[in-house]
Amino acid sequence: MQGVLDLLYQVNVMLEAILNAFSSPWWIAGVILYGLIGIIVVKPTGGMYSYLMTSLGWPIELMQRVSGSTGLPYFFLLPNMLVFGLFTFAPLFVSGGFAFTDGASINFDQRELSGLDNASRLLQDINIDTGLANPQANEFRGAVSDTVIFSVVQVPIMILIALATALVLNRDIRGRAFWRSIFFYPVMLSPVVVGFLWALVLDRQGVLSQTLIAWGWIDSPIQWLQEGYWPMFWTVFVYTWAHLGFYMLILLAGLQAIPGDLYEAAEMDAASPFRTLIRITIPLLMPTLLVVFVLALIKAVQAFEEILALQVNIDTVVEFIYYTGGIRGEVTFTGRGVAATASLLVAGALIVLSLLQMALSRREAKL
Amino acid sequence: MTRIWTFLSRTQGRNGPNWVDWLAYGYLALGLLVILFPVLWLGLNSFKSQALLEQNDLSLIPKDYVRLGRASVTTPEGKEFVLIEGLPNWVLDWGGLTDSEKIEQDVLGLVEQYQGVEAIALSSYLGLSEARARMVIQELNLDDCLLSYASSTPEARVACDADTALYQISDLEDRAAVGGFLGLPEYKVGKISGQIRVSAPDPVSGEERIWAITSLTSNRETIAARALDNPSERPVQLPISSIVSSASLDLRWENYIDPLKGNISGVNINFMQCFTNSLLVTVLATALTLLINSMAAFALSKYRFRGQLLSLALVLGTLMVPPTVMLIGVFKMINAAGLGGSIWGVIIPGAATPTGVFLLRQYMLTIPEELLEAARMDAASEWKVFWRIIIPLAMPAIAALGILSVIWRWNDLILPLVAIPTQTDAHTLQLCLLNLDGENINQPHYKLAMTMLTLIPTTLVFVFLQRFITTGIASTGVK
Repeated sequence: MQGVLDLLYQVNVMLEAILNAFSSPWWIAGVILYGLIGIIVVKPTGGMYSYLMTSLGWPIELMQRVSGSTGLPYFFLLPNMLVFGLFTFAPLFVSGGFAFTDGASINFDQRELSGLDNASRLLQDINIDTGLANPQANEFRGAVSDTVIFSVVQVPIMILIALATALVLNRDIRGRAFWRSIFFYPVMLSPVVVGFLWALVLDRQGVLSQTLIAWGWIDSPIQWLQEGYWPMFWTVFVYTWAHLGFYMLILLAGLQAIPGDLYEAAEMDAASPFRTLIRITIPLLMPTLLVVFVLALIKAVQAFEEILALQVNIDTVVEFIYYTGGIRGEVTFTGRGVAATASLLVAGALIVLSLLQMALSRREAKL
Repeated sequence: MTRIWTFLSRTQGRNGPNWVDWLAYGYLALGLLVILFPVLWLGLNSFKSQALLEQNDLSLIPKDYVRLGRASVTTPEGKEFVLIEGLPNWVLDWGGLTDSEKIEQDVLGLVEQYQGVEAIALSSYLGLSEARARMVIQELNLDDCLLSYASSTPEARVACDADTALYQISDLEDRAAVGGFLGLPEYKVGKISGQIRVSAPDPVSGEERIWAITSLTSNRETIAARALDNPSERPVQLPISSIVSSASLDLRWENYIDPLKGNISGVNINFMQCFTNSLLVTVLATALTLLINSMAAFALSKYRFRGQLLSLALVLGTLMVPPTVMLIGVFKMINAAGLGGSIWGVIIPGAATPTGVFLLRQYMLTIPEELLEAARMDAASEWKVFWRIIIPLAMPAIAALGILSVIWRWNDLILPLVAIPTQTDAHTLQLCLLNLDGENINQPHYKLAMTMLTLIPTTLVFVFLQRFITTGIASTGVK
């Protein structure tokens, strides 16, 4: 009996959550209106899929009846581009708006134009509001330096390991599909899971410290996530662990695209495996390597989620933006503007990196 | 064994594996260990009891030792220690239970099974003493001033002669209950703490005895232990090497069930709700992503129109300014669009993906134009051409994108952080998990179990559908 009641209660919780998502009256009215017009205009028939698709697409059908097929591609593009415009491109300009105004609100009518004040709060040693030392600038510099060190260390290490793994998997190996999926598996895990998993191992009382003590290698637990250079080391390790498989897969695809007869020719000439690697594999893989390098670099600059979950003593730029911007937690008068300024700087850096990628891949296309 | 060996060491053409092969297999084995061992460890540890996890138990298998309850009981004769055998798990976990869980247990029935000091320790720990004391005071018609004795002034206490009253109570358990209720120092009862039951030879006499110890892990060579047959004698330092403990497999399913019922003491998170929210976000967002991405891909692959190149450049350009960096701007836009605080703020902003459009476009380019022309000859509208011909033919690519989208959405953290930072009833599983860490650190068993729960769906998708994922990523080169 108790079990049945429990089950009913659980079902109720689920239903409530679902209802909660659809509870806005505007939402329901909008959907019903859209569906009704669809049913009236196009008179759908047939099975469920055909009924659904016909009643969904009535604006496009209507457009075609009214003005022929010239404008149609724009209608097909519209929903996707609308989402892109609102939530990817608009934030870029909105951030610009925040960067040059002051105020705690996110409504622009309650913000005052402030010119370059936010840039000064972010970058200068003296705080223009108080005339005293500016801890925010130090924080930002710390975040930038941690991010730069992290990216510079992590990207080459990860690409080297990914390349080594791809080379091993490209050999004539038993159970290649199995090994490939093992190395790819961490990519499937969410940043929170990855962070918690390794926090378990690396906490002060975690597995690593305990094991090393049991083996007699260290005397007292080490704060792997807090002390000295260890936080950087472990962040690089965890990040590489989590993302290696993705880059390995791209490199493996690149390796498999290299024509086999080149290797046969090398074997004819009795070239050593090492020489084959240096003279054939690496040069032919160079375009893929460059793409992978830039992709990994763009990703590393944005490092945040795993670090948040791992609670490691590393400050990254995105973390700085997240905490300063007051999205969760304390909202300050200057925070949003300062965070938006930092956003613009990082976005600028990312755009440069992406343009670099485009230039490099164009060169690759010529090869 | 030799047959397995010949199977494993077989190579193509050459005679026997060379050192590079050995190196390769060694590397793969190392990778297997580094990648799967932490996940395996997490999975098995998520079934351990709170007590075991707090003792930093390192064993891989969730075994639990035979446990005892230890408490100190003071009577006018002096302080003595009791070790209670055969206690159910809920008594030893009593401190971590919620009020509703405490009510569910048959406390009275348990205490009745014990006598003397053991019963005194149990009824004090399980919160029965006060009611018992009040009952005794009323039944024996003792002075009413005893009822407010603990909170009264010293003069009032002298006037209310507690010693004489206690002298009238003949039953030892009743007397201890009243004494404890009055707050008298000579009737002090300590809390019950879980101990591990081990056997080891007595370091002095060499005779084999049963002992209770707090934890099996120690930084020193010896461990303090109390003997079961005489718990009140001074603790003895046992050498760790001499200890023999017995443990049996003990899977704590309640680590999973309690959070799913929203039944964690001190934390107000219902993981069933989080799970439902995540499921809704994943399903709805994937459906929306597939629809609008395939529409855009259709336009970009099967039509020629002004601004086509520009549109494609814009789609790929979104890769350059990821929302991760533009947190404030995205926050503003989600709220300006009226989506803040509900799961729609997570679903809609992430529905358009450059990867998806690009992947589908590349695939749709391979669909022959003639099929479309034939349909148009039959007076099919362009929308009908899209859903009748393009979508069924592009199914392999759509399936690949669908699986990718499920995984992106399930694992997404940054959009929920921005769209629903404080609205707990809209929180997705990832946010709930993150909050569990912030709210209560001393409940590691729930944290482990919920981390495992979060990881299971993507793992299942991976195990059964990984072909689609790997081909999808290898062909576009973007995540």
